[in-house]
Amino acid sequence: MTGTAPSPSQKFLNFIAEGRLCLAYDAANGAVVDIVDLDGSSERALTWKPALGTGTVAAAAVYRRRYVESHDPPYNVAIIRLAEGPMLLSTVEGIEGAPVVGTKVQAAFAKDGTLVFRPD
Amino acid sequence: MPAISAITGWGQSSLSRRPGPSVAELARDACIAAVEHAGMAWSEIDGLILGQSDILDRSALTLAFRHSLDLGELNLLCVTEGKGTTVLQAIHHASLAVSAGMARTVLCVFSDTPIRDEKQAGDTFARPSKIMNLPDWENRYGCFGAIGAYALAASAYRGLYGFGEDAYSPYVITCRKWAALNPEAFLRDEIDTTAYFASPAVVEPLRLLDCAYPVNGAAAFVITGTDRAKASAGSPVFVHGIGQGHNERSALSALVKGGRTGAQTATNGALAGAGLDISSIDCLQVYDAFSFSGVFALEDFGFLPAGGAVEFIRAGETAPGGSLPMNTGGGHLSSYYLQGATPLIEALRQASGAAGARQVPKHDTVFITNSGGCLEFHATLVVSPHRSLS
Repeated sequence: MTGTAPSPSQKFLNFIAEGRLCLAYDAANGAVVDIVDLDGSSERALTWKPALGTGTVAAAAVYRRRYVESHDPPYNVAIIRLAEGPMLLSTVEGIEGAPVVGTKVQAAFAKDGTLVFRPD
Repeated sequence: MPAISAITGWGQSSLSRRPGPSVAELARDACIAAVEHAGMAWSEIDGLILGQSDILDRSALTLAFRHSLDLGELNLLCVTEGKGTTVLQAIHHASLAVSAGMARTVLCVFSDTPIRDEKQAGDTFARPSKIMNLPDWENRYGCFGAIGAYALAASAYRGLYGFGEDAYSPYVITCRKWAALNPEAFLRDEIDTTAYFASPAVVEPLRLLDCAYPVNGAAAFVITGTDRAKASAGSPVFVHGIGQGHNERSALSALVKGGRTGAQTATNGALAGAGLDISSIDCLQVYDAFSFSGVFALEDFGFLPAGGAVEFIRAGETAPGGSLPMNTGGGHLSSYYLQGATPLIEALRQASGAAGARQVPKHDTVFITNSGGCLEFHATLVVSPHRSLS
């Protein structure tokens, strides 16, 4: 890796900034790499492919009190199990109350560029 | 098997919900109380381990703290930090030092001031949760506070086993039953299911009553060799097993991806050292920053099969009179949250028979856990009033 090459996690974020959800695969064995483990892998050993964008809610929390200026409660935060296997923290739009674990969802990009999920 | 070390004294500073003395002042008060309790002269102390709270600046408690105590030349002096495992890690290091002859008697202290001017304790802990390992990712979604990751884990646990909204209420109610027997506990009024559900949601599925009750305060412990414990004035408690387990999985990732955290490894290490089977543990004191962590600890540390804790608690097995008395002072939720020091202080009181109205009848073996991150770092301890377990 050269000094100027972005780290795998930065590359993931660069794709997101372009409005694309992409996943990394180990070039040697074809296995999908967990997003949380991206920087545990060598950049040269990875290939990137667009994600299917489908997934399932694995965990969800609803903030009922204000923690930060940028987010007005109530809002939800969810862990999505992507169809390919990796987990991703995001939010589920278009529902009342807490997203139910097991709900099928589809990735979308909100107007402000944030990756969100909506019931499929 | 013979013990590794002896804890001959322990003590606390004032514990308060209001801003007051500094971290160092509280630490000093706790150290003096612990050394007095041990009935030792300051000249006998030749080691000092300072526990660094994860939420404090590194400058809050430094090696210069030694000058505020009447200490001579030391054979061991350090600051240790292991997030929620800091207190038990300090006891581990001290026990190893005295058993190896590196030091004779080591004083360990943990001090914390989460309650600050114009700040509620929750705000002190309200930093972005670190879950994805992607810079600033959690900020985009407003996922702040330790409670964010724990609420997600609590939701995943409920979803995995199909538990409803009442999954955590039996645990919270049981903690209050114990706290009612503890004059030092801050929240002693008994509560029922109605009171639990009247408690406001903070980050669903966690309500205010599911959260720990932080205080400003300090606790200190005197650890010495088993041979020196003979001369101790009080009733020493012996350390028989020490364990740690840290793998790549937190409780949240284990619950959503499968696999286990390092908790079982931490249990196995301590039990092997003590020569005990898990079924021979009489009393359990766990680090329960949230109700979910207390429930999940029963399974994660290997006391119950996966998914079995909710019914076990509902049946009263961890309550006064139950088969596995747990967090007998009220735990972090109802007594006070001084990170991992709370379960250790309570364990020492139970083991030495000094727990008053809440004293458990059988206290030959007491098991203590500390956990940090979102249940990502784990440390354990087995203590007993007996020098030898056979």
